[in-house]
Amino acid sequence: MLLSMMVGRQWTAHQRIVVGLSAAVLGIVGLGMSGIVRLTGIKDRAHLIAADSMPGLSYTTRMELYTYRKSLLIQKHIVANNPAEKRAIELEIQSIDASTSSLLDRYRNTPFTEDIERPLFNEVVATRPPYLAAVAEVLRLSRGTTTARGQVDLQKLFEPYSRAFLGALHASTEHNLGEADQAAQRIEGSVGAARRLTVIEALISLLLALMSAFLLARVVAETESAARAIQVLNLQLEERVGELTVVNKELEALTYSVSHDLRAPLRHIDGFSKILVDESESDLSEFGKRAVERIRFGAQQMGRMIDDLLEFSRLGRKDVARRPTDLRGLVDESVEILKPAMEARDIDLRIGGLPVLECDPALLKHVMVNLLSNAIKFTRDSKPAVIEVGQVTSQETTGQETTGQQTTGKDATGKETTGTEMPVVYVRDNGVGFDMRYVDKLFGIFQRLHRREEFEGVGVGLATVQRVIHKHGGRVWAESEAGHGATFYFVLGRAAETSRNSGARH
Amino acid sequence: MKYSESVVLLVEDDPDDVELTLHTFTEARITQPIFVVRDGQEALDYIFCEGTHAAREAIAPRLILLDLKLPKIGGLQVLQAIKADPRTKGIPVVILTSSREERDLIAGYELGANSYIQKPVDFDDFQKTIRELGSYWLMMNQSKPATI
Repeated sequence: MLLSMMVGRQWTAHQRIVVGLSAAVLGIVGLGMSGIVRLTGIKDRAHLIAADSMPGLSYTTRMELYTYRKSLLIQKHIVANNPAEKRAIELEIQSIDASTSSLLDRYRNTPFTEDIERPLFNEVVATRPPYLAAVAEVLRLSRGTTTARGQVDLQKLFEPYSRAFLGALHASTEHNLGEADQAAQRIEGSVGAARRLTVIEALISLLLALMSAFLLARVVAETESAARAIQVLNLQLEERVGELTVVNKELEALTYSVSHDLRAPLRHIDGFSKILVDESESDLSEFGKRAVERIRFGAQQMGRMIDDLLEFSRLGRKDVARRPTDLRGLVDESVEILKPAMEARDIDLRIGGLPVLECDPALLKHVMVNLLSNAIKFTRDSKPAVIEVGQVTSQETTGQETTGQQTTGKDATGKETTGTEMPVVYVRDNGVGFDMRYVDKLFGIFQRLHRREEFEGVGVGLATVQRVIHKHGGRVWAESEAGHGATFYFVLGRAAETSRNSGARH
Repeated sequence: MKYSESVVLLVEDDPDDVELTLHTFTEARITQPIFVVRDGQEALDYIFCEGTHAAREAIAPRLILLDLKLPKIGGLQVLQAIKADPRTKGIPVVILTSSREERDLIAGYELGANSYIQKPVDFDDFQKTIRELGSYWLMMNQSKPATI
């Protein structure tokens, strides 16, 4: 489970390293701790076992020691030749008896862990009085005995008591020694089990360490391969940038050529047509004159298309240089530019409150000129023409944006960048409007929603508007009803987002 | 100074453009003689009295109408040569070209062009432009006297 989680694809390399290594380290530390706890337990148990078995062992051993020494002294007493020597030995025996008595007293007050020890001790206690009595008798008799024969007899008399008591003592000692042996074996067993567990733990730790190493190696390998992939991608990207630079140069050369070379023959067509009419007007029929007129119109129209197309292309290549711009100022400048088109027209121009926008003023001026120029153009037959420029209030904004998304369905650009706080600007007219069924064609280049003989123009204006707005990370959309005017809305994206998209600086 | 005899030098490689320009000059009743050269090299030869024009009388053109896209030596190079030479840098040079590229415009002015005019496609506009150009540079404007 943990392993599958660690190598699972849904984890990032970083998470996998952290989780995998943490698990391994926790495992190793946990095992080490359990080993320490177990060893501490063994040490404590060994103390308890030793404490349990030692008192009995030490008492019986000392008792045995005293008794052996005493029987040794008795034998010395028996073989001693002068009374003074015997007297000294008796004093020594008394001192040992005192030690033995105090030892026995203490032994009686010692708690025993096992019941088996009690009968053994009782045996010691029971065999002691006849033994002591025998000792006393031997000592009494030995005072007058000096012959070798008498000594042997005395020893024979003493022996059975001595053997019984010493046997009991020995059995007790043996038992206690056995106990100690068993305790030692138990400790050894515990240590052995601890050793086995420790070996298993060490193996598990090794396994965890190996798994960590494997995990690390895997992540490192993946990182390296990702780095290599990035390197390859970078190289490819550089190649593509190189190709694009070449293509861009070619495009510029083409633009230059279009600008320079394609206009020349148009000029000639128009120029010579004019000269034809001027020089041979009387020779031309009405149809001939009309034909020349159409030739000239065609040439001039194509000239305008080339100019607009070049302008459109130039705007597309231009970086967006944003700075706070009072839109009102731009609108006033645009109106000034459009003065000739407004002459001899009855236009009610209503300019409402307009925001200060963080935008490229030169580019935004194209937008305003184009939108206003369209409004002027398409209100030609409205008497009076009413053109409004203004800012949508925040309440309206929501509604209009919803409509906007419906009307410009394919226009996804700027959806994320459209903040509710960014002001929405509109240009509204009461002109001929357009049929909403064709709204998706509205912003296409060379697209027209009206017949050419109805309204002049080549169909680049709104494409330019859209391009500029998109370069600002914004959106533009329109609403209309045929015969009831049109409203164009735009909203810009935030400055930071645009500069990331277009690489423009401030 | 023999300004009355000096010419308007038209540097233009396209014969149709030459014809339309000459026609317009006639229409506009500009009486100044016009000399036409068809590439950048010939323009320099004429201006500096070199090569095929080595024998001509050393009178500076009154006005130079310069196309930019020329065979052999480009218009901007011709302009540079004119403006780099103290004998000729006073001659008014009007760039008359099809190009509306910003870089041409900027390069032209940086090299010292006196005016930059894009030839309009509409011939009426072209005629108007030539008329005004002739009226301004040949009648109203006082150029710096120059000889070669």
